[in-house]
Amino acid sequence: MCLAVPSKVLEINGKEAVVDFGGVKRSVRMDLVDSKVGDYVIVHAGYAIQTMDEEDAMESLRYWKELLECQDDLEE
Amino acid sequence: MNTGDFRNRMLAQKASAKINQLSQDMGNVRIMHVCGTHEDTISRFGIRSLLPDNVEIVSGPGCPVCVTTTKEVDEAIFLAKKGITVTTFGDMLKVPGSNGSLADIKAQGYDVRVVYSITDSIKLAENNPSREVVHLAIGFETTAPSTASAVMDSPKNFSALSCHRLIPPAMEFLLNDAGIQSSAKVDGFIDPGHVSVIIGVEPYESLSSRYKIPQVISGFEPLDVLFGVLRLLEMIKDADYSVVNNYPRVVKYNGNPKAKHILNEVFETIDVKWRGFPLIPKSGLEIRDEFACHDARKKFVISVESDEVSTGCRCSDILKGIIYPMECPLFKTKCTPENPVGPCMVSSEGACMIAYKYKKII
Repeated sequence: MCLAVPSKVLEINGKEAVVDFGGVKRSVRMDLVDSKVGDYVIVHAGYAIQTMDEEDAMESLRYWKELLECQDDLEE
Repeated sequence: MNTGDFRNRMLAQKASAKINQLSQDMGNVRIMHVCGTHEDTISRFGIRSLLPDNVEIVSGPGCPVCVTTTKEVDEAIFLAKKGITVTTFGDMLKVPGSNGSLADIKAQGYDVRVVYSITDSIKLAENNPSREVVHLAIGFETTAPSTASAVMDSPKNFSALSCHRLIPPAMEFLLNDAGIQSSAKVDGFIDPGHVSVIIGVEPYESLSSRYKIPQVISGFEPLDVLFGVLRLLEMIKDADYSVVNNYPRVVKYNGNPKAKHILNEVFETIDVKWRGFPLIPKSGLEIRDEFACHDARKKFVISVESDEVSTGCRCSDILKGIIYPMECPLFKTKCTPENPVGPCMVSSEGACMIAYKYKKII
């Protein structure tokens, strides 16, 4: 199952990191990413596979809201 | 980061209204996703109930457990019976082989262990240097890089039984199959979010141009899927045969170059069978000879005679999007999560298990 919830990187020790996954601390491997402490990462089967881009996330939402002509709700 | 924004009810209602409006003058539209997690989102959030009658979303071969063959399960069972420790993800345990499952032989006392990550398997090998540990490595492009990474840096007594498969070749198989194209033609794909995290946008582009099929890469929140459907309808209407990345918060055009590099270093592509499918060209990953000492198939002599036992299970039609789970005569009668006949009822990503869990196809 692909977990869509991003995990926040709390500390990095070599190829391993401790992440906050919805309030639970988990150890994940960092071999496949160049993330740093404070980044949000997508984790799959114990490996961080990508750093999440918060700006892109907000941009998608903004675009969708514009598409549906509900700009008034942008600041909700 | 608040992923709750991607579950905004008001936006979902507006997207649904727009989908209904847009599809009014369209014929029947058949959208396929190729990811078990998309099926979970669609069923869990009742997305199908928000769509008009002429727009349907069907499941494709996007559940890695489901497409793992009987032979591969038999290989893992063979190794466990030889006294080797076999590790795998929980969903694989109850998948039937030719003669029972890994769960069955575990109950007989053989050493079969469930792991959360391949790193647990490596640790097991490190802590037990006198034992051979084999990881039954399943999954698509999302999971294969972790296997590759583990193989590159693992102890001598660890090896992987690679059952990794690639999604774009399976999509191409469906687009090429005359039977499917005549009876269950797909008009657009919702591409898998986390497979795309690794491979990026490019591998889908040639499919779109060669087969004139629009595709939208989507995330796993309800709005991701709804906007994926909306975008696909617009593209179908405009005859826009391209690939749209609707999941830019994690999917980049070039994917994850680091993961792709590791994948290429450790694996080469081979033709493999998928459960319910014939041989699909260049759709499997085999460990390269340089890492033969960590390839269970090269390290051990595995001898299995596997039969695809005829049970009446219609997983193969479900994996091709030809029928819905409830159309299988065994669904919820002979085949249940407690006693699964086919793998689609075993895995949390299997269409039958998801349909069973959420009570009905919605």
